[in-house]
Amino acid sequence: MNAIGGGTASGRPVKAVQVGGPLGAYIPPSQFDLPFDYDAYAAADALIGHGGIVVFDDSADMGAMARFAFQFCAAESCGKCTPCRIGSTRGVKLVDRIRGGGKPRPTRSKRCPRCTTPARPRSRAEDLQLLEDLCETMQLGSLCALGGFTPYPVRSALKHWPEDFER
Amino acid sequence: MDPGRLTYMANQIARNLAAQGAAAVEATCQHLRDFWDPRMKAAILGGSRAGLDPIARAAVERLV
Amino acid sequence: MVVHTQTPRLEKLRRGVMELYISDHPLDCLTCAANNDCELQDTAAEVGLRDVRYGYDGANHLGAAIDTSNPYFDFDPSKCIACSRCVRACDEVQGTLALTIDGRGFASMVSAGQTGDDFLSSECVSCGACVQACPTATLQEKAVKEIGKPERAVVTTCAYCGVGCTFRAEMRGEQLVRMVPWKDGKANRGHSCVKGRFAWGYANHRDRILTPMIRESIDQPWREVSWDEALGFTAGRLGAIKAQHGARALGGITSSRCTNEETFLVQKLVRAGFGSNNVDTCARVCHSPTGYGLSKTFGTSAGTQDFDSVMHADVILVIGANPTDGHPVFASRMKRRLRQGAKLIVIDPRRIDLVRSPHIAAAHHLPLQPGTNVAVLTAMAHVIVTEGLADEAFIRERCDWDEYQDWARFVAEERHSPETLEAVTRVPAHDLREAARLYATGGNGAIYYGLGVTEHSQGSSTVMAIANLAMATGNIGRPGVGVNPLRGQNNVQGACDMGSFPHELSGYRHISGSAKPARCSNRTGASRSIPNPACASPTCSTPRSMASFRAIYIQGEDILQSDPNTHHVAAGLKAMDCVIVHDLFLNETANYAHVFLPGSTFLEKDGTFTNAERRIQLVRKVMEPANGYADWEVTQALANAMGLGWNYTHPSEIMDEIARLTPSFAGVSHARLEAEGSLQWPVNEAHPDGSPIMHVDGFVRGKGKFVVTDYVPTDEKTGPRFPLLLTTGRILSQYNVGAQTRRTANTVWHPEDLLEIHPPMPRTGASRMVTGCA
Repeated sequence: MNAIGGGTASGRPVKAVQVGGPLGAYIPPSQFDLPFDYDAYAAADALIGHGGIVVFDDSADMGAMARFAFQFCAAESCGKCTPCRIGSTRGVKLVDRIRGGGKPRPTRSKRCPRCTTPARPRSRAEDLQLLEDLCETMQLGSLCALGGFTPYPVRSALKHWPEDFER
Repeated sequence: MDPGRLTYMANQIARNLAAQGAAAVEATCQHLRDFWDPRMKAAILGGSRAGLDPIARAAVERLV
Repeated sequence: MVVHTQTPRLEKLRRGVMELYISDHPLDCLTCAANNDCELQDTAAEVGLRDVRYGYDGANHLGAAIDTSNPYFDFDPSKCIACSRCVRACDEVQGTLALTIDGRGFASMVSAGQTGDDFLSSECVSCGACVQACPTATLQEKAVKEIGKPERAVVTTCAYCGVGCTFRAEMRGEQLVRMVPWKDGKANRGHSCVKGRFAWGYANHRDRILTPMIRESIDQPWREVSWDEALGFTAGRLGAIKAQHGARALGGITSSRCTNEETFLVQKLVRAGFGSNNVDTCARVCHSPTGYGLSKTFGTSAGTQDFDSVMHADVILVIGANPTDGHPVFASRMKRRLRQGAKLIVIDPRRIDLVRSPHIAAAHHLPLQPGTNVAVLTAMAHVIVTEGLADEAFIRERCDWDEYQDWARFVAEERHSPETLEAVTRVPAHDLREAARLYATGGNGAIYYGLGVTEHSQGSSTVMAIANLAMATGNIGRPGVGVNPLRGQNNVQGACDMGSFPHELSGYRHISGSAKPARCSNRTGASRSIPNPACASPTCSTPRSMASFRAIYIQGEDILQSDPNTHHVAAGLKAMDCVIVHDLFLNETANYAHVFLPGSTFLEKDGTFTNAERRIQLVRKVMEPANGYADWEVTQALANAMGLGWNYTHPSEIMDEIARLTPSFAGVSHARLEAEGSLQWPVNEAHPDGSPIMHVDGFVRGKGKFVVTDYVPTDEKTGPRFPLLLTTGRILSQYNVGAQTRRTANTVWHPEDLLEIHPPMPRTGASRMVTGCA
């Protein structure tokens, strides 16, 4: 990156690279020794995608980048399958909630007897679990790669830069 | 029975069956036999045959 | 390979998807019309969803406005889960393609038609397929919202057109909530149209007459009386007329809307009670040419195929029929086959919807001059014979070869060429030749026809010309081919089968023929002293012959509206001493009646209807007759008032009698219909399980008969006195004379009848083709 690309445009240190497009995983410098091939990337929960590489300097907010992945998915979604159609929109809100420190959810008066929800605030651990569940639902339940790949940037950002999800 | 109307109907049947050539008279006669009310048959047998086309007339004569 | 459909991973995934669905769904289950009848609710319970962790403050569709424009169902987008089932039902089942998903992503919404359209203004034909497919209350019948969830269901047969759809009549108490097409119905295969699905409100309409009425003469007001008094009055009058004027002064008209059993009883009453053959039916003016033409050529007075057959057709020829309006549920099947690639030929003066509609385009539309059917068909035969396209092997094996040769010589004459006949038919010769070649060589060729064929002065000749074409090309006796009359009313086929014509007993046995008349007369009590056909329908009689009638019993038909030449019918009725109208409503004919006997709807009685594919299906009583008696009970009571001593306790006993008397119905009973769902006649020793397709191994009459049919111009020409050429057509939302549909919300689509006027044709100056829709 430094030899061929000339480092970051700002000259600041590299924080992450995203390989394979907006739905590719974020790779931290500690994994820069990863060989650039399909199997190795797949084993590291990343993907080659279209092969493009985007470099982020240390000013990047990886929590915001996770949010952007959901936002991108929501903007591009065709709407045919539910994990992508609704999941991407819910994902944006959920990342906000996690980064905002969690908020008590407003309750509604009318409830379906079969779908009642206890009216209590969510803990951060619960919301992080929900984020992981959403990623799983989107990855396995989406009809195409848009919804199916959105979890890559989200999960990798959370895994390598959990501090960017706290504020 | 209005004899004019019956003559008209008999001629209409005959005209539709005329293309059957030699069989046309019998076909017309059979049609009258099968589908006409006894009163209609009696009326056309008893009425004037002046207005009947040749096939219809032959069929009515065969109806007797 | 082993496919696992239930694993912990899948269960979690399903729960995850449901959690997303419910995060954008109103939580008003307890007040929702679909409560406990909702797949979304059931699935949420099934996957064990207990918590929607996203909360409910995110983006949603809960504020979307409800579209209430359709008179029968509402569209509430706030409850929509964008599953697209409705869109696919509209595309693949109905074939109208009116629905789509508008927008994309989270904004995806089901939409009828273009942006800005609501359901009513869109191309939606209100067939109800989307409502049935909807897993939530997004598309919901208004009646379910108003009345509540149905508690029980009875499977029965629709009383509208000749398709004969099977429905589940879903009831709450004694109240009908909705009619839902039955998936196992072999005629409709789970589909429906706006009439059968929704337009049943006439059954409880306030216009229904529930008490018998009589009057001495037609200028007096009606007097409500008891059943006993009405029947006594009627029997007395009929007896007096018979004594004074003889049996031939009495007649009856059976109903093509009533059951086979009821129709059979009316003709039996006329033959055994009145003592005459003066019985007729509306089929006299609609499909008697079908009976005559197909009987002459093939040997059976009915269509050759079942509806499923269309899915094997390669070339579909529609002549004088408008299936998308007249037989919509069958049209949907046909359109599905056309979308699969079958070719379509339409012979019709009008550019009917089938000629060009979404994903459907006719290969050939031959817009003939009305009244020239025989000329067009003979010209097609000319092409087939002269270009060597006839199926000689089939003809030699299955038909009379000499008759074929006579016919072939006739149609091969130059005067029958498309070029010569173009002056008469106004069909471009080139198009006609191409259409004939396609029908003869395009694989399985199936002909479907309707009243545009039969309700013409050359109706019978046209039917025979159609049969000739099918035989000449070998298109008879297997799936995908055949000659198929699209019958008008629900039981036109049955009414004909039941001996509703003066010259025929049940099963088309001629009254004077050798077809076991003795057997019949013993059982029905009909005397053999009346071996000659008579004629009851006013339309086939002259005014004077009408005058020789003094009394007529008319069940379930408004002849003053439905029969041609209204003045003539009115004059005939006015001259009578006793007109008995047995109907749901005080119809136009009742203006001339002395006795009005209240009728019952198809929901109020047991019996059978026979549809256009000869399919006999059970009609089941779902509620008690509002007038007190089913129609068969009224006819029986009248017969007994005349001293006939009938004692049927259930229509199944009448069917047993029909089966005993009618060879083609020998194997039919209510018990069998109950067990097997339906049977297609003939059902007898030779065909114990019925006959979905006829003439498979040979024609019923033996050898198929080619009948020479010559074009004879109609006498009804335009001129100074009658400058307009009028023809009739079908309308999807309205039915027959409108007795039923005009008493429903279907009027929103078609509030009044219209004349469509052909735009001027500069070449010929012929600008006066007018279509009246009724």
